[in-house]
Amino acid sequence: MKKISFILFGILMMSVLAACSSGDDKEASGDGEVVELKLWTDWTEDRPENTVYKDIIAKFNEEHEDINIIIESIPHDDYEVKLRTQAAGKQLPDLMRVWPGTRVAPLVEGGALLPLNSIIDNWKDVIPDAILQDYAVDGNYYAIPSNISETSLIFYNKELVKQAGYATFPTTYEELKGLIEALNDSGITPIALGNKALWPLQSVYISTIADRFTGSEFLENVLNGDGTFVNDQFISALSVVGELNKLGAFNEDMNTIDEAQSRNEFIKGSAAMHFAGSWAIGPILDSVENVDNIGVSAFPSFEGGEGDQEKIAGVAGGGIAVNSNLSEKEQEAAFEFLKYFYSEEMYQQLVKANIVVPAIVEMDDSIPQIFKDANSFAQNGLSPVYDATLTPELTDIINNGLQSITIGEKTPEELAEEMQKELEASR
Amino acid sequence: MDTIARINQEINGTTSTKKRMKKTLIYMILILFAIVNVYPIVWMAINSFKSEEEFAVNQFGFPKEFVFQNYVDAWHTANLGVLFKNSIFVCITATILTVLIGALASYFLARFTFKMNKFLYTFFIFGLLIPIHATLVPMFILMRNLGLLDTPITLLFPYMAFHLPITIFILTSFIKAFPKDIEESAIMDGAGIFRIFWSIILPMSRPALATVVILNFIYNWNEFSFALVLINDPTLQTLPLGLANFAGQFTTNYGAQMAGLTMSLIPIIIFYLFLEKEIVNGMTSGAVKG
Amino acid sequence: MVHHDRLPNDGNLSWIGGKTVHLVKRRKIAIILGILPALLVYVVFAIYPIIQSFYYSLMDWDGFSEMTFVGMDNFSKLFQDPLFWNSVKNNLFVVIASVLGQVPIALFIALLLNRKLKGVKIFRTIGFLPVVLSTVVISLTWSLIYNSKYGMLNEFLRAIGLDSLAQNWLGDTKWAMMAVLVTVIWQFIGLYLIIFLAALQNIPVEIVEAAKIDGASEWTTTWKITLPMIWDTVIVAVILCISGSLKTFDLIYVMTHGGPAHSTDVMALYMFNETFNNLQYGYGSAVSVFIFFFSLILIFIITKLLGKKMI
Repeated sequence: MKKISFILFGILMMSVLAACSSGDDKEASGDGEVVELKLWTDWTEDRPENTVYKDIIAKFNEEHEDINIIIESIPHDDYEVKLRTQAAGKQLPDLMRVWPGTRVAPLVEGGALLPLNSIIDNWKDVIPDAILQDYAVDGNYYAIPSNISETSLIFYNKELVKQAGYATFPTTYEELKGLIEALNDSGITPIALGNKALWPLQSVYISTIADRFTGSEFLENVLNGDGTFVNDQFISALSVVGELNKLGAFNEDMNTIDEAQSRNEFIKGSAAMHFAGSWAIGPILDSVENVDNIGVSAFPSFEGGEGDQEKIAGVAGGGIAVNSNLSEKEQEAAFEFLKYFYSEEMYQQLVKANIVVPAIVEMDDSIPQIFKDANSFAQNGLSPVYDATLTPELTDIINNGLQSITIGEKTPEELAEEMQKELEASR
Repeated sequence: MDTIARINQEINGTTSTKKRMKKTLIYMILILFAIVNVYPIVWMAINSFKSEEEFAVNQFGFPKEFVFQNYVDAWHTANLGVLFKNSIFVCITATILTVLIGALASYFLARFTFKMNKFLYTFFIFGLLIPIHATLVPMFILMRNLGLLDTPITLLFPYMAFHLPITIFILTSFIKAFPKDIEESAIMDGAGIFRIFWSIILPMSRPALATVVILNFIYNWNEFSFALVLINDPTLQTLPLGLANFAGQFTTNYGAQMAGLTMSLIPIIIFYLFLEKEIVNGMTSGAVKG
Repeated sequence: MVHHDRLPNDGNLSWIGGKTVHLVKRRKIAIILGILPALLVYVVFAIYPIIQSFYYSLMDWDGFSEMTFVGMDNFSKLFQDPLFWNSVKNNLFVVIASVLGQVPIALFIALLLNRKLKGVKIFRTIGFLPVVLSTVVISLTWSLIYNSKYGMLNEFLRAIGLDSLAQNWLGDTKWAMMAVLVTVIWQFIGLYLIIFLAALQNIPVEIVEAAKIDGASEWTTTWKITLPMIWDTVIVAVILCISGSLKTFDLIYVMTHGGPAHSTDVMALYMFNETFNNLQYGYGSAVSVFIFFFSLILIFIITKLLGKKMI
């Protein structure tokens, strides 16, 4: 007993000493005139765009002796928990990664963010205002997007699609259903879907499908009270998911694997198609055996739909917002940083990394065809992405509801009614 | 000798075949139990040697090539050296402190009668029922007000507070069961209360002490939520946080993650093996024979 | 100098005070000194935060703006919320399954291991391993076992010709809860295993041997002697089991996020979702209050039941 306690005590002492000495190191960093800004991001993954971001920040720090940006990266899934806990304790960082629309709104309403109106003209001719609006509340801009997330692209395996009898990819929903049946007949999984986290069916599928049925003003109207979710077009859109499921379009374990795993299935060649957003372009191009075998298509058109059949759902990607609690000097430094960061150079580098950007950028032949195609879809206009526009509760309901539809536990009508009820209850 | 053996057999009522069958059966059950328990670890270790591409296509079998890069990646990207140091410090300190003050409190709650005894005991036990996530925000605000955020000792406090209930629960019940005359001889020799605690009670509680030490260490080692919310400084992060970095929104570097997890498993297993002997050692000398 | 007549001994050391007045004071001070450190840490860092949380339950708060007092509104909303009651129902499944699963199995294995057997130590260590593992690994490996296409479970069923029993274990609302429960039970058996092993070590060998000599079979010895002697520990284990399962969060969060369609949603998950995803801090805190008091009542009932049986 004595020996053990002695050893443990010794370890304890050593650790205390070690901890104390590492504590001392912190004191040395506070220099005289350098403005330090802490930036919270979710750039923990080894993705090309994260490398681009970090490189630019490193360069910025080098070129600016009086400003130092310190990055703290938190895993994406835990980011919100941490951010919201700190917000509740009124301890937000100086700069923080935010997501557009309804996800940045609470921060704005709580007065936590600084409007960027004074420097917004910097990007007037570079980024279309429609996209900047994704980060605007009541006419004030709060962040600049670094990329556009198109959420609804169809990646397909050219070989498998051709084998099923389709030399060109279907352009209408009816044709798509035909393709699915043909694939099923030859025993190939038509679409790889990983809906464990619930958002894919809503963000990737419904955002565009619903828009093609209802038109782009539908969501706004409903949220304003000028419309209702209990709407034939919307219900038809929801039914598409159920219909696809009944046709056997998806892999059987669709509700138990996540998006990344389903993408792997597609890359492996186990499925002919994979519906995903522009975030998948990079990983697919990186991992697939034959890049030329992969094609990308926009969603098919839906007969009877009232919306623009060419639009694709998309939303501004990651932006960095500024804490409203900064001193004047810190604000200046922050603005300086934002202007430097969201520069043409960054957008160019992102394009090279297969990221769709909001700015107009020159593209040469080194850029893969898939990327150029995907990028061109955005030119047809962007429609709202549901989880960027709905409140968290409504998003929760539609996410869960879509999953319920796939297991036959809810009808589209019931889901629409449930959403309407929640909307009215929250008013 | 023969007669005694025969009598023994008659008493036990079993033949040697029956005994062998019983033993075999027991072994079979235990082996099944062992396989079921070991499988995830073996799987994890095997997969830690697969490259990301290979994992995507082959999740079950042995890796075609053993990739050590995962371990290098894990160590460097996640800065595992620093994380290990932090985790070890926090876990050992928190565990020692918790068990010490917990044992102390348990002793008094178990062997002394006083008015508040039952109340205090139940008060501590309440802690078992508290859902941790409910306290994330209040804890954050509290630590911020106390100026204790982002320090090397930050995590010690919530870890101690939330593991005292189970520590006290187990220790009290164990100490209560000691025969009543344990302390008698010591008292007669004029020993003070704390002396009795240190030299008699603690040694006698070894199995229970080892149990709570292991429990505390494990809970602290794998704890994630408080570490996420109360620590920002990358140089102060603990292992679970670093390992979480491997799982992103769109991609997960499974190989490196498995490597990191395998590495983080080693200290606990060593620690457990180290303490395991203590759990099995029955009552030590000084106990009162029956 | 040794006294020959024994001192009055009621087992509480209360008679120490009988010696001199000084010792009474010393005893009181000793008690306070002994319990104070633990009490202090506990009250400040566990009790205070949870009381704060109870306070939030009376508010409407999104975490960013100001709080508004709403009294019992959150609670009335709670009692009418079908998703909440769904999570309570699921949680009860977890509790029952855990208690009926973890405790008896752990006890059984502990009894098996409490003998001279070759390799006992290895089995013990292995038995404990799941407790030590991170939930990430557990979730990944079991998800692979349960995978409907190529998971081990379905492969095994198909291999022995029971194709029809192969299910979409984690993706079907009928089976998801059961599948998750098996994993939860599996994870914690080892915990109770070492608790029981420690307790079994405490039984004086002489008693068991005496029983053997008297001709008792192993079954009788176990049932009539061993079990009653560790019954207190069994109650401890049951209480820990109940309180743990009412708080269960980590594993389910990583394995299914509470899905599909809320079929594996438990109270702590529901609370977490409401607080951090739906930004309803007040409502989430109300759920916590419920968890706390519900656990209290449940444990109280169970201990009364088990306690009575003891005597």
